[in-house]
Amino acid sequence: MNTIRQQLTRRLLLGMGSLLLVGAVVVYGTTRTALTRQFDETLRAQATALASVVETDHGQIVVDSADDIVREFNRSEGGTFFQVWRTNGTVDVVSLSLRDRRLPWPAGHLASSGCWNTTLPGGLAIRAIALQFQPHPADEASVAHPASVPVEAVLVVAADRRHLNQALTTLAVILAGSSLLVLVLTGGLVPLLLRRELAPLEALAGQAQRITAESLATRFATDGLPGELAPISSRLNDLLQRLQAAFERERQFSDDLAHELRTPIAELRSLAELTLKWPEERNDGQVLAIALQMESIVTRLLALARVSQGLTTTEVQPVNLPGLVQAAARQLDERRAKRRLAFQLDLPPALTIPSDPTLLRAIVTNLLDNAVEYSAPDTTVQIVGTVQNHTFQLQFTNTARQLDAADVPHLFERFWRKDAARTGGDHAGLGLPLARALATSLGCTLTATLNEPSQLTLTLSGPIRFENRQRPPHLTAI
Amino acid sequence: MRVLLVEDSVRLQQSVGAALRRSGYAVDISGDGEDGLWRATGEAYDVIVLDVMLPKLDGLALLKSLRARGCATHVLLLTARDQVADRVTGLRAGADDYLVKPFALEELLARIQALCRRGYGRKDNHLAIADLEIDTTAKQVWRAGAPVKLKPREYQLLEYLAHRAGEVVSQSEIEAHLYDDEVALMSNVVESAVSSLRRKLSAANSTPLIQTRRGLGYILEAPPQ
Repeated sequence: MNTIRQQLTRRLLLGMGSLLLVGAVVVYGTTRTALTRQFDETLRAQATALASVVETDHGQIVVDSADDIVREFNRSEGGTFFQVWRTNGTVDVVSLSLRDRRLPWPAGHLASSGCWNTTLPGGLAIRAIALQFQPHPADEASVAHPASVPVEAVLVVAADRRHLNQALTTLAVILAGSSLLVLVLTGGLVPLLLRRELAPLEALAGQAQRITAESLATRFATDGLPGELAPISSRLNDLLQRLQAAFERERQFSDDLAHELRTPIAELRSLAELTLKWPEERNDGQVLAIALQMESIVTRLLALARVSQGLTTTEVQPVNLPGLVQAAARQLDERRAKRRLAFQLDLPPALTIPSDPTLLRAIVTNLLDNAVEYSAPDTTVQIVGTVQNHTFQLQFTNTARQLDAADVPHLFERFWRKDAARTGGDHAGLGLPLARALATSLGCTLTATLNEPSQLTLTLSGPIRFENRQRPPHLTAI
Repeated sequence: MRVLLVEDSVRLQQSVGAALRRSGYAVDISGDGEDGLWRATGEAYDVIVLDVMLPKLDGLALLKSLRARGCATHVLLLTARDQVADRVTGLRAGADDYLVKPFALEELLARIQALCRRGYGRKDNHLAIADLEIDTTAKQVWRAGAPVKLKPREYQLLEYLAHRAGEVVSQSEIEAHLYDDEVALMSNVVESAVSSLRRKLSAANSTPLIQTRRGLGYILEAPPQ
């Protein structure tokens, strides 16, 4: 696996190697240039000094061998050489240090007056400089001689360049060696440093790897983390918290669903087995009631799933809200009467809103059904409609003595019931979530408030004018 | 045998209650945890069938409270929760058995019967006293090799006396174990049941097996040789 540590190690080593190489080349080149220049200047000084002692004597080019400068060139084991040519190529004088060797004619170097590298016969590497000049006569009298003709001489002075080469080679070896050493040390240190500095990142990765659906309560440490990692750790913790909450919701949903379905199935099964064993215990009415209850749960669940996934189609048209509420209320007359409840409607008679009548009717029915189911007997359910700022509000208020303020946020959760035992099978806790999902799909909002004394108000709000929008925003969560 | 059913589903109360009564058990029914605890501590039950999710007081809290009061009645937990952790929690809280909804009625009856048997320290389903033989699974009785046809209540009385064979069982103990709240007890209900049982058992062999200990109760034992 390609890790950050490996990548950083590779790139740091490559970068360091490149820097060392460039540094070594620059140092070597600069030093070489400086040493060569110094060598050349010495050579040029020697050539100039030597040229001053080259004379003509009766047409012959001569060098005063007694001169200190010349003596240096005449040592047989000396490392400096000279040779004097006439311009026609005839050799007049050579240093004794050349012995039987001869310097090469400086073809091409006379004009440049620069130094060049060459070799003596025998392979000795030398560096040479050439001067072309007119030697002055040894005898001042001969200058005045009419027959005396000025002689043009070419002087080549050379020196053994082995020391220069050795110095440069040594420098190259030192530079290469030290660069290699630095590179090896870097190669050893970088992984160690990276391992130490990246340890918090690895710890974070290890912890993340160990997290499973069963350990969502785990949180990443944020104290003592480097500045770059602290926000990541913090975000991961937020994510875990949301994930845990989602898992909890799903678990709760599964538990509730299991209970809501298992109980009627258990009832049905025990009834069936009882009837098979003792036919006189047969009770078809109960079987039908159980089937209807299960059908209601499944229908509501399916409707909820369909609305949540945006699969419902809405056909918006003008809907007379009071008429729709009255029709929905009439449907519940029997149950309302059984519980000795009264509906008190206060709706503007001409209130017409743009909505889908089927879905709106389902919302209103669910809200009325909820009020009838949970209101205390002998109380009144108030249904009040108002219009304000191009928005209608439909409020359903009923007594809900069993609720307290902490219950209100849970009212729209799927399968939520105040009674943890979930006793009573007709209401599974799907009516309000479904009503809210439907309201959202119609571009409306459904909220709940609990006022003293134990008055629950469910408020449906929405626009009273047609909008260009054809479809409401897709639902993402309930 | 007397069973307490603590279950909030009215339909399950009806069907399980009917099945238990049909099987010869005396059944008391309770719809919430508080009432269930009150009944469980006030009466002598052989088995308590207890739902976990109950209004007012949940089944596990009821069970813990019951055990804390020293009540050793066998308890069968009945619940929609089927996770291993739920079962472990239930058994650790003091339950003797655990059944997940939906359940087979036959299995529930068999488990209740097994718990009743355990209550009298027996593991097999065959009881024999002298020439009387009882199959507690098939609920059949033989005297001297001949089958004896008994009504459910008579069978329950015989099985109860057989479980406690050799012991004097008082009339009030019989009433507590065999008759539930639905039976309006008359002073001679036990006496007449014993009398009817004696008559049916003596059909094949006239040697009496059930003796009366005046002022104390009844004893089922093998006649002296």
